[in-house]
Amino acid sequence: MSDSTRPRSHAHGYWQSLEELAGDEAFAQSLAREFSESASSPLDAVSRRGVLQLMSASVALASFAGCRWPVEEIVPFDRRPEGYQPGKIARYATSLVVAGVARPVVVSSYDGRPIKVEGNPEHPSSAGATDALTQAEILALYDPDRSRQPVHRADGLVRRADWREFEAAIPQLVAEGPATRLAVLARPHASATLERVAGRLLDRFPALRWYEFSAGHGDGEAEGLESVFGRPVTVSYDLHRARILLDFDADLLVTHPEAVANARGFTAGRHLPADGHDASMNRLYCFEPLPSGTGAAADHRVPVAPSQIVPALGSLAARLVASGRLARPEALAGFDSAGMGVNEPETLRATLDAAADDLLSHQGAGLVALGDRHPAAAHALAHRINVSLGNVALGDGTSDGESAADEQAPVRIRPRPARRVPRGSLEALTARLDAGEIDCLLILEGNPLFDAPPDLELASALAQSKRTVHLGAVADETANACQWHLPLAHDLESWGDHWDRDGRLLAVQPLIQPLFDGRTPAELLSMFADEAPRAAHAMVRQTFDALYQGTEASPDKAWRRFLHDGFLAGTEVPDGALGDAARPLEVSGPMDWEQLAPGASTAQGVELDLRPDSKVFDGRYGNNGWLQELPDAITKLTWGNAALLGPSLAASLGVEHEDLVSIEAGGSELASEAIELPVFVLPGMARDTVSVALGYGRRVGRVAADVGVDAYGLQTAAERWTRRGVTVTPVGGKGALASTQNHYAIDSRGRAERTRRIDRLVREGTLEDYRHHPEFAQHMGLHHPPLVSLWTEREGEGHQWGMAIDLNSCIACNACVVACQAENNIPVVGKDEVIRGREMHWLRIDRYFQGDPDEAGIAHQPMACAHCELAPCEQVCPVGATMHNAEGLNVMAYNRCVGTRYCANNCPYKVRRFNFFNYNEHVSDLEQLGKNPEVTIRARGVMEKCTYCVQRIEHARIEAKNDGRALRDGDVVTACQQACSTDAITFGDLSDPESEVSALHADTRAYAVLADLNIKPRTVYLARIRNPHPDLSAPSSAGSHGSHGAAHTEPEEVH
Amino acid sequence: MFPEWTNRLRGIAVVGVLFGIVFATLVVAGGFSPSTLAVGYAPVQPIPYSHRLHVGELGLDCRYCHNTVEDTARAAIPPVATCMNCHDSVKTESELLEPLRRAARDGTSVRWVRVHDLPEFVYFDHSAHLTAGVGCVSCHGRVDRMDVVRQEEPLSMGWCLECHRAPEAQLRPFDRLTDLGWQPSGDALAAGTELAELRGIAPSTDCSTCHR
Repeated sequence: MSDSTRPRSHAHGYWQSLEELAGDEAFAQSLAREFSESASSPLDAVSRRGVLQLMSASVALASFAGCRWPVEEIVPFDRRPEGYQPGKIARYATSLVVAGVARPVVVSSYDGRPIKVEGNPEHPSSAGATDALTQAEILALYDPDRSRQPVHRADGLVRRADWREFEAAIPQLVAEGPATRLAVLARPHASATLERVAGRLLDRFPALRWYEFSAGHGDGEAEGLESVFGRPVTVSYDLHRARILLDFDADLLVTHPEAVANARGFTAGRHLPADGHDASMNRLYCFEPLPSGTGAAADHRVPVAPSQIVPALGSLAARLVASGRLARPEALAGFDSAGMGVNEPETLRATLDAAADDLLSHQGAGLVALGDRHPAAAHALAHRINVSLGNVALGDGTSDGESAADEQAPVRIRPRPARRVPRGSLEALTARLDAGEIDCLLILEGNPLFDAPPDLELASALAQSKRTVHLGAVADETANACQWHLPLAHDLESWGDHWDRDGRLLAVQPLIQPLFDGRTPAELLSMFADEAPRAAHAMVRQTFDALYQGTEASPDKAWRRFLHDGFLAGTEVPDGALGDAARPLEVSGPMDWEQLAPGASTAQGVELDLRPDSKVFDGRYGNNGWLQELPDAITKLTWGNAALLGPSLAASLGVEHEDLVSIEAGGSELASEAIELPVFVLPGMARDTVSVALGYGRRVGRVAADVGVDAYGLQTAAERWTRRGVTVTPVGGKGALASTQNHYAIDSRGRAERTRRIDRLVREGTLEDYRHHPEFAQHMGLHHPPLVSLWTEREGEGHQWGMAIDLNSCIACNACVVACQAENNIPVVGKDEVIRGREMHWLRIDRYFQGDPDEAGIAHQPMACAHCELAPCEQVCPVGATMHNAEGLNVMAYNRCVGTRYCANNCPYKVRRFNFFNYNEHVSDLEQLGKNPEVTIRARGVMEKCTYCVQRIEHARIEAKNDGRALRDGDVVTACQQACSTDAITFGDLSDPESEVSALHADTRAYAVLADLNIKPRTVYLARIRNPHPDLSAPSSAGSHGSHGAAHTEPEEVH
Repeated sequence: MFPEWTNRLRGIAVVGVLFGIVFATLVVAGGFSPSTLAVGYAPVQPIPYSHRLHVGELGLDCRYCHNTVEDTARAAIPPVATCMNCHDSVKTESELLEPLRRAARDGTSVRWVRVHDLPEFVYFDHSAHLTAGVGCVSCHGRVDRMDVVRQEEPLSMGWCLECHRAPEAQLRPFDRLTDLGWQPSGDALAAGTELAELRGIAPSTDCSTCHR
């Protein structure tokens, strides 16, 4: 086997950054310090004298402050709503549209203000979990930038107005009456009520046109599906049914629209028994230009340049066709990959061989997924591959119901909700605007002046239209160019509904009155449609009544159940297109394979990959501080974007990390403007590929403005995601990147020791290792003499809390990090402070690279306070501010803390965070509404860290006592655990031998990090197991430890 | 350089400084203590509602108004509607009740002044204490004898801990929780100890019990 087929066979073990790999001097110094250097530097602009003056002033003020704290008023209700208990958290099922997808959620409300979003545990696609963007939605509700009232712009005058004025102005907006050429530009939506009201609008204005645009989504998939199945359908995946998964730049597990359900299914297919002997796992292959969460979780990841993704897919199809073993070869009839410009390096060839072999031997239990940024023809190919392998439920098994094969099929095709109003593209809209064929334009939620491809010249087209109305949450770039800007109600303030991926209707119900008099898109359209009723509640109820086909006794009862559960059986998308036994789903005739030939743009050289950011998405979440400060799972970058490129491209360009480069996408007739941004040298990037995240460089927004660089300027309408033949030129100078990459790197003694040590921190083996040596992880630690305690160990009483984190399940989706931030009132500190190493996250996800920098493997490890039984932090606190409680929690008494920071120095996991400033000093009333009242707001000079969500423990304990019962396993769910879509985090009572966490602590894969320090952490990790194809299997860390591992040659079976 | 009599000042100064230190300590310890600052606090309320009249004489149960006390952390102050249950027909002409009637008419609130005010970093839960069998009187005193509610106990951390270390004296039968005048017949401590054993009462003195 050649070396290039062994992605993980490099002599190096894990490493954390390229500086470390290269033995960088600054990195060595950073390890030697207790905090990063700048973390203890004095304030920038304040001199020593200045600080003394401030101090004397505050002493003087303190002595004059009253002797008793301020008088507080209690303002009870006039009439308290029935069943309402002040100070008790109420939970409501609703749904939120996040990144264009409706998410079923349960929102906690404290005294009438929503404070926390969780997944809806009853809903199968969430099962209680969420992603990072959904967790951050609370902050969007309390965004101080939200528009407070309608704004009218006319003749250069900007004027605050109100809704009554706007309604009065509607007759002028549609002055031509029913002949008005009204146009709507909206994001793609799946709201039944909005579609219904749009239909009414069409009745009134027959010339109505509806255009859809979302900068964060490609539109190839829907078109590709329609071409394969001959009717409008949607696709959904049941990953737990798939034994072999091929991800072609789709990032199925993290940024895919159905990532939460996908991730759950994926890990369900990798669940391991505790003893290892009958272990079986699915196998994931990932082909992508830059590392994603899915790539990090994959068994095989191959970096593939963006232009080579589709050829790689074609090359796979060619292998499948050539095998002659396909279950339904007719789906790929006549396929030939000759014209696709296939160019396979050795690693890709070997991996595709293995993948094709796997798919063919697991027909009906495989899955090929392609990212939505690729063209329709490529999606058609991907779906035809799935059909040819028997992976798609076609519903033609038997006349009454699904065949057994269909029931097991991982790919489901469903009818797309009917659309009365035909859709057009943004290109079509600009053409009509330019031609003066639109009288009045309504823009519903969207910011095309920021995120549309610049060659459409939408700004000038819009300027020609005098009657423009923008409905949006904030006065963004587009709002400022429209005649009317109207405040949009947040989903948590609205009535509404959305179809989910399985065609069920999800409820949207308000938890709070609109804070700023916002309206929903359906309400706005109803004003134009002149439809009664106009109140959102009544409109949604009307839709529901018309749709409901279920078995509840009365419509009222059904409606109440719908609101209670958040969704309801009997509200599915009406059949007609599908499910019709007379017309089973079938694949339309042979496809014209010529469409797959690469386009005219075949310029060689560096390829530019543009994609929505993992945090601010297409820019719509730019104003969200939690997301801006969230370290990206792979780059660990916060507050901005960078030109991501691999080490070999960096070397050939002669640039280093943080060097400024200029990127120019010429080549086509439309040479776009150049952008300038710093380089981030990222291991695992495809060769000759530079990737830039979209969505940064917003021009308005108190948080979003001027963070990062706007890369939309490099797009063209024809080439939104990939530009070929771009020029990357170093321009000299450096740009600061706020990456948390090397902050809080766990230090072990000495550099030489370090590389080996990381293998001990994050342990992994192959399925083969695990089957034969289930306890392999136990032997990967440091060999040490018997450990003797320096301290008198105390016996705990009662519950003994502990946590287990399964590295085999963690996909580094970051949901837990934001959930922790929301639950525990963790402040946002800003870019400069992050650069100084002062970020405050209690829970971080460490990222380690492994092997050859150009084809690096990636491992992740969530790290938070492990509540050591012999906690080193407690031994050095001079004031007893950090103490052990009887149940084994390492607790912080903030009021005792004097800020010596000795504890953080002595913490081997580097999980303690210090409040260098009073981050909560200037929090507006509005933002205060979003804080969790169950958790103390920390002031300056105080150390803080993970508490194992002590407020949730106490809450569960009191609830159980009030109910007269003992705490049960599962009563206490920490915020991170609740958000986790893969159940990687388990929390519970270690003194209960029956508890799930006890079982996991006793698992053969369980190990404690840095156990040789004898600190006895209460959080243990479960070693990660990879399932490489036997032809590609690489010696793993575990394999190098003992005699087992790579030596085994018996054929690998996936069960 | 200085006249001779100033030599005597040295002694006086030493005594004075020592006295000053002791005095300052006593002033701070005694003067800033919650027992000095908080006990006896009895602010004027917008309506001179008398607990003595309503509880002591008319015999209303505490939970008629503070009806969430058994289920939640807070013993909620009653909404205007609760007062109007009776005052719709009782004392309808009273001058003193005008703010109440106005609130009921306009749908506004009565802005009461908080008497028992714990710092924000303390997470006290009424329901947990009632479930354990601690009566109202333990912390709030004989409210049934107060025309104006005043703070009886210091509500300081030391005071809380006294009971968390030895809760027996404060435990009572569940049907006597709101009976402010109830006294156990016989040996109070023995009765409390028995209840503590029966109910498995072992209050925690860990920081995390009240601070999060």
